[in-house]
Amino acid sequence: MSNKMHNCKLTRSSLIDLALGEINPVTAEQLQAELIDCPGCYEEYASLRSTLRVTNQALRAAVPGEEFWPGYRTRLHAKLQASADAQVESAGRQPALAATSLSSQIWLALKTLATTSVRIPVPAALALMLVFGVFFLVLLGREQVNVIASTPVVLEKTSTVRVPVIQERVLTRVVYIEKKGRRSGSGATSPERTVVPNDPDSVAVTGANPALSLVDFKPTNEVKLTIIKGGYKDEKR
Amino acid sequence: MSSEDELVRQAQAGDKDAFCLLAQDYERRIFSLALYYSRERQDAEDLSQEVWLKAYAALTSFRFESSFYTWLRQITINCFLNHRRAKSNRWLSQTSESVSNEDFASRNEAAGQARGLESTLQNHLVVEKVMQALAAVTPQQRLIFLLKHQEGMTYEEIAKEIGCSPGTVKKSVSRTIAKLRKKLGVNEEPENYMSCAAAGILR
Repeated sequence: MSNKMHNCKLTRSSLIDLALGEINPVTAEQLQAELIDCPGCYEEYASLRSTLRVTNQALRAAVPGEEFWPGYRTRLHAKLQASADAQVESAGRQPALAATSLSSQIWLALKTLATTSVRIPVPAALALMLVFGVFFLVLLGREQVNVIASTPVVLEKTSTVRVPVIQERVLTRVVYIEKKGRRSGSGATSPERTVVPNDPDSVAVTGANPALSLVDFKPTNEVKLTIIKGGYKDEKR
Repeated sequence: MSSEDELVRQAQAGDKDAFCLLAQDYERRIFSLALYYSRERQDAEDLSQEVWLKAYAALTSFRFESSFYTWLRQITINCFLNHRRAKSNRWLSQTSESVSNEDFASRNEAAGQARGLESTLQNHLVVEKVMQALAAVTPQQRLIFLLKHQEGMTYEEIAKEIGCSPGTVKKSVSRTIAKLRKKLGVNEEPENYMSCAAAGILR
């Protein structure tokens, strides 16, 4: 009946537990009944038990004999005595230590704290390091924000300032003077005429002659100087 | 109050002799564990005596909430886990002189040569094979196997002491047994196991 329920793979996975007594008595009994019906599993179980027995006997055989222990006890006693002496010596040093300054005691405490080692599982240590890292980064970010906040705010205000610019303008006045003496020969009499650019008086005078009118005249910033060689006589010729 | 508790109280009061008497009751168990763990006799002596020194220093913290040996075993496990000297191959080169030859020779002399030379040689070879198999696993796996096989602790108890899951303990034990099986080559269950294993080795 047990053969129908038997699964070699499942049974063999429990054989070590059975050999080491890790299985409750009811399950152990069921397993042993299965082993009787399955020679392969039984052989596996027997091999496991043999291994454990041989190991046990070998380990027992490795333990030193009786003659070893008196010496061992003597050495242990000597070590205990040395340890007790060291404790007494350190206790004797305590009053002297108390007399030392407070700063040296604080330094000693800090040194002890720095050199103290605590056993901690690796995953827990990694998690702690990660938490401290994140905390440090957050703290750093907050400090940067504080630095930015503490710097004085500079307001930019645009205002127009009038700066006087001295501009120099060169005006050239061209003056035509009609001399009486020379016009007398032609018989035409006209008053002496003077044309002064930008001078309204001169325009009034020149109003008699529309060819010389300066109504549409616009002065330019650029002055073009034309040197005319010769005199009035040359032009007439 | 048991005599052990009385000795513990005397030792807590600073009586070194009481502590030494207490140590005599468990010195072989602690030394054996140290020997199987370190696989070298001098290391085993140093390690086991370190356990006793730590126990003596911490004796005032023992509150009688568990048995003295359970408390002592916790100190032993911590000492072993802190002992990080890698001497995995020293057994092969030194045990022949240090543990096996010397111990077996002296033991046989003391026992009035009850066993023959052949038996001694077989024991020697089997011990060497077992130590080689134990050297092939990590110190933690070795300690887990010893706590299970020698101390009879449950998977849960070992997991609690070592600081891992019961599944890890189970896996570790089966891995160590697999190494031992392979090394010893034990495939049947005869009357004399030592002879069988030695025959496998000598073959």
